[in-house]
Amino acid sequence: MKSADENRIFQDLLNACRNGDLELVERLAFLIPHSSYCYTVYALEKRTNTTLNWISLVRNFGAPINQTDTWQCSPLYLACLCGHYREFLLENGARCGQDTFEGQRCYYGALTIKIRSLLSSYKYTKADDKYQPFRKFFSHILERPLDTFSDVIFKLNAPYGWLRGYNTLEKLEISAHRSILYARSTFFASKFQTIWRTSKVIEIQEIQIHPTCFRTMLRYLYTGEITSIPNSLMDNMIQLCQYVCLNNLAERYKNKRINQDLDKVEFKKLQNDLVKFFKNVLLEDKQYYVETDYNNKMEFTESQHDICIRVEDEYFNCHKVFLTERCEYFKAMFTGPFSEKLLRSPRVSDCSSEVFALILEFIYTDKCDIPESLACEVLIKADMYLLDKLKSIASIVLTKLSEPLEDIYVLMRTAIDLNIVRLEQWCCRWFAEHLHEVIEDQRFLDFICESAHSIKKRQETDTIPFIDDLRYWLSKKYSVLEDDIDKRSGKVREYDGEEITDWEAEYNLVLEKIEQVLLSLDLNA
Amino acid sequence: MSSRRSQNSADLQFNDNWERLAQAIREIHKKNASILSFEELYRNAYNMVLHKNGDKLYNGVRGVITQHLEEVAQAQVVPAFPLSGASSSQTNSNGAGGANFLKVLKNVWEDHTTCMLMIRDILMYMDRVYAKTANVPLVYDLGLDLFRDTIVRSQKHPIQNHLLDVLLQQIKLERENEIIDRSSVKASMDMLLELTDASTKDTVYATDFEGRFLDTSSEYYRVEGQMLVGECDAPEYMKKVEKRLVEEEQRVRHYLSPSTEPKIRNIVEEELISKHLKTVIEMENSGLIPMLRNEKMDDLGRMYKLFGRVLKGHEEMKSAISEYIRELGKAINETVSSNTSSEGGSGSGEKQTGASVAIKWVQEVLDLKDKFDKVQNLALSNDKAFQTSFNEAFEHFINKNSKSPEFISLFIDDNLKKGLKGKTEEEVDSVLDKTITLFRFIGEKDVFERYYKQHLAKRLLLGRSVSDDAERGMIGKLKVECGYQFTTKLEGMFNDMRISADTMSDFKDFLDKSVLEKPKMDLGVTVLTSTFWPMNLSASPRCNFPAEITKACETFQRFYLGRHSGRRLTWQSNMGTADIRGSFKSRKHDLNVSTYQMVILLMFNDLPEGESLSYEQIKGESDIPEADLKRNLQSLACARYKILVKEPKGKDINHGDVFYFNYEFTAPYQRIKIPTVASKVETEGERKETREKVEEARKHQTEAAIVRIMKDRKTMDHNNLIAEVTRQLQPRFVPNPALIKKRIEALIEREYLERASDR
Repeated sequence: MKSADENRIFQDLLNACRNGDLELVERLAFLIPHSSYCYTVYALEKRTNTTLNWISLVRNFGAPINQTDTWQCSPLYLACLCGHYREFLLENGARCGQDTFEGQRCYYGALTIKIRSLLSSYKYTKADDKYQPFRKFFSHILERPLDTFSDVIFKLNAPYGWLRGYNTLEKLEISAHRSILYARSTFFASKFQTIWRTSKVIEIQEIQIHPTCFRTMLRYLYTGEITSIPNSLMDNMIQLCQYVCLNNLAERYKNKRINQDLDKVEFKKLQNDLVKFFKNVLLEDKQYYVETDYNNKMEFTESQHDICIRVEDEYFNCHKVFLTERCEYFKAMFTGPFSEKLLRSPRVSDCSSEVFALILEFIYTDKCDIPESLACEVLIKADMYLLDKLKSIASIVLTKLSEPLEDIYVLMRTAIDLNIVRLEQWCCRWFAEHLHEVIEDQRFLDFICESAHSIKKRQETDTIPFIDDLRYWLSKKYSVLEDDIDKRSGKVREYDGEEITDWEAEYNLVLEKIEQVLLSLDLNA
Repeated sequence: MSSRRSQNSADLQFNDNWERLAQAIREIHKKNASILSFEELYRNAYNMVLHKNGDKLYNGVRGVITQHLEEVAQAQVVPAFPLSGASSSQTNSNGAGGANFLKVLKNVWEDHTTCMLMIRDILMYMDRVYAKTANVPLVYDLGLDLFRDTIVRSQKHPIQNHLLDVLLQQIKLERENEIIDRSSVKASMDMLLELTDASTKDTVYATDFEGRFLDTSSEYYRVEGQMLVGECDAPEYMKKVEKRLVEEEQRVRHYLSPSTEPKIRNIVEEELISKHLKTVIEMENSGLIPMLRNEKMDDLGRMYKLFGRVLKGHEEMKSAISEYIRELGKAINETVSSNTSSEGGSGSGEKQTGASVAIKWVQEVLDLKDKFDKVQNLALSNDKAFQTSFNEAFEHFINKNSKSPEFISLFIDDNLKKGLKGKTEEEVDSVLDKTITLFRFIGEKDVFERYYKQHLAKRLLLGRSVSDDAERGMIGKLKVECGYQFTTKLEGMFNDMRISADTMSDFKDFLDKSVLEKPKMDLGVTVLTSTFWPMNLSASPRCNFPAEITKACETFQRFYLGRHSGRRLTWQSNMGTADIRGSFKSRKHDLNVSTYQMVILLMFNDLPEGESLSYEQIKGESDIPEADLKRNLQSLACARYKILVKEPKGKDINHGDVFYFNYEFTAPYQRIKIPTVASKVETEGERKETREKVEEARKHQTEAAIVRIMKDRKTMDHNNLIAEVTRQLQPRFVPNPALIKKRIEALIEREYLERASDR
């Protein structure tokens, strides 16, 4: 739900795009997500008719430049339509891939060829690529099932003469992962729960399946890609799709709609299937075995798990294929020669079960709804398990808060230890806003010292990064203009005749205070 | 104080954690990884890095690994050193020792890498977070570096020396056909390839091993090359070299780095091929020449392939072969010249053998050409460069023989004349094709043209050609070679023959219809266009025909000139034949004789039996030129068919000789051909004459070329003009610059050209 303020700013952004006012676009693009805090600044700006340097903020925080207005016009579209050659929006992840609705519109709306070619050069924006590792995971396990803990083998029985090179007497074996098939296809899910419950090797007797068709179907189930097949196999493909109850896919092949357009939709579907599988099957399953003894018993459960991880008092049924291929930590754990390799229910300590469930959610679905209260812990664990994307998801959750849920010093400590610039800046801003509360606190002073010592062989003239950041945020707080700041003292100068505003005076006072603190710490900056 | 205490406790905590981690690494080294909990170790390392103890951890790990490797070096590697110094050459015991050493090293290396993989897994977080910011190698690479410094290049133990010596020795053993354990050699090589040298960033293989390997190889093959050259004959030597090349190539494939392949190949090529090129080519009884002589195509092919690998190889081969061709050609030339000269001494009567010398020469050259074509085809994979040098050699010796244009023409003549006798048309055609290839080699094509014209004229006029088609085919071939100009006159000769045939049939019709008295004889006339034919037709030779014949001639002349006004006919009495019937005592014979002979014989018609004519009488009455008369009388009176009897008897015709008609003449056949002068090799005098004619023609051609060029260019400097003229005349003959200069002067004299005023 957007607030009224937000809407107003968005409208301004759209107007700025129309006019090609890059500076305004930059500032507005930043304003929207932080409206509550920023709108006041914006209003002030309007009033004083001055500008601030917002670019670094935009870079750090990202802006909803892919939002659309009531007529579904994105800022980029308007900019293109009105012939403004600006890379800013694109650089900051505005969506322009030709396979998206917005992208398509931008492309056709582009006023000049120059803009159009710029658009196509940005075709693979970060926004488009954000699922790239996840996609790669699926195609990797599809292509190398034997290296990735495949747990089921399909034996195909192609009639003689269908394919040169295949000896019909020796049946063709295709390996796959139960978990994927279960998640993606109701047909396989029900079969795995019933007649194929314990089968390691499955022979499909009912219909003749051409190996190519079966592989194409597997590709669809694994990656959502719909690839073309030779016309001679079309009937068999459709037959197969109907057999495994993939009616949509059968329709697609019947109508020969095999273009890649719907790839995104299909991938979304794939992700949703996994979300459902994770939430409805895996998390439900989890409780099931609490009382039983794991090391001795391994049954096929609904979730088709092949490993059970013990966290605190809970057991999570998992699939090695997901754990090892999505996370290097687990890969080392389960493929290395260590004791966990043989355990059926290895233990994960130092982690709460809620947090572990979130980590699993990310591993299985590539997204994660992190409750604000757990975000910090997830952040730390994500760092430990080397899950960079989860780390940034968690830090986004944290930095969206206006007040820290836990001790600000702990948060700052974490941000520094885990090297999360975004969170560090957020903490700095908080310190700037609450300077009077913390300025006496020893822990705050410790950070200053630490920051000062982080630079090896510090010289008299070197600055302290932490203090620099504080000053920056203070200047924002008191809306001091960069031009007015004296380079040497860091304070607002008095221009000939021009009065210092109240806020600026206050800013100078605060700086004075910091100066004193630094002197007391025997530091100079 | 409190902070220090916490510092202390953190240190304690770290030491505790580190002790556990170090113990775990030791367990990993003891291959006990399965008792370790990955989760715990990872968490342990993670916490250390998180608490800024990354450097301590890193250095600790370095220490543990180094210590372990030092122990391994002491306990496993050093005891496995080959017993005696590795450089000594007691092959067997040493070889086994070396192999064992390699095996031990292989195991040590494999253990180390597997351990490092596990350690890397545990320290993944350190790699990610600490190693990156501290800018130190990742832990696996650290492991490799430590292995390099503590094992492979150990300061304490001479491992490096032993390793390299053993490797080189193993390779040496394999070169000497012993079976070695390639897998352990390969393992060592892989190890060296995986380790990188810190300063050069190159592999240790490249810095430590490759250079020494190449040096020893080059020494080895230098010795072997010298030994083999002394021991083996050429084919065997080449087989050995080929084998060596294959071996080295396989060695690289099996256990060396692919980057070594070109280097070692170069060494073998250099030591075994380049250095011994000449020696092998010139090996007595087995070198290049004997191979050619005995047509050892396999060996030649091998030599071609091997020598092609080095820079000068083909060059040497080419020059040797073309030298050989020149020699053979010289030999052929010499036999011919000795033949002709000996015949010249024995007398000019046997002209037939003269022609056969020519044919023999051409045949031999063709055989030689065939032989080298075969070599070219089978052994040299049709290498164009070789072809060119062969051609040069052929050209050289063919042009060395000044008679070659004549010989070739004679050879063609022989084939076109005798073609029907035994050979099929295809055979003749293929022979002629080959002859054309010889023709290409001739520098003085105009000389050839002259001879060819002469021979062709004789064939045509005497009706000796196999077939028109064959003749035309040949001319077609010449046309392809030399262009339209070269053959216009030849074709003109054919035209004359055809038109004459038409004219004759018209003449017959004319006679049939004519009211005039018909000649008592059949007259066949061939009208020749004087410029096409090689004979000097304008000057009519002296000869008095008998009245009857004169009359017949006049009839034709009237007929012909009536049709073509403005032409002049001259009768060529030195050509043509006549069929006359002679009545002898036993029977009548049809005699086929030359025109001159006919004239002579007809003189005896009116003579009563027993009467005679003296040489002077015959000469006076017939007015035949003396040389021709003598020759014709000779063939009538002194040859196989003695139609006339000469007194005094003897082979030669002299003034004062007296001739009778031989009524006693007998012969087995009804029809007799009195042999006329056959095609023959020219005598010296004739040759001189031909030569002069050719020179004369050349003068004209040169002048024509000069004028053509100057018309085009207007002004040109002397050197360029000479070059251009030479270029234009090349297809016909190679003009002498002096000749061109003379012609230019002559043209200036006649004011066709003038010197440019500004130079």
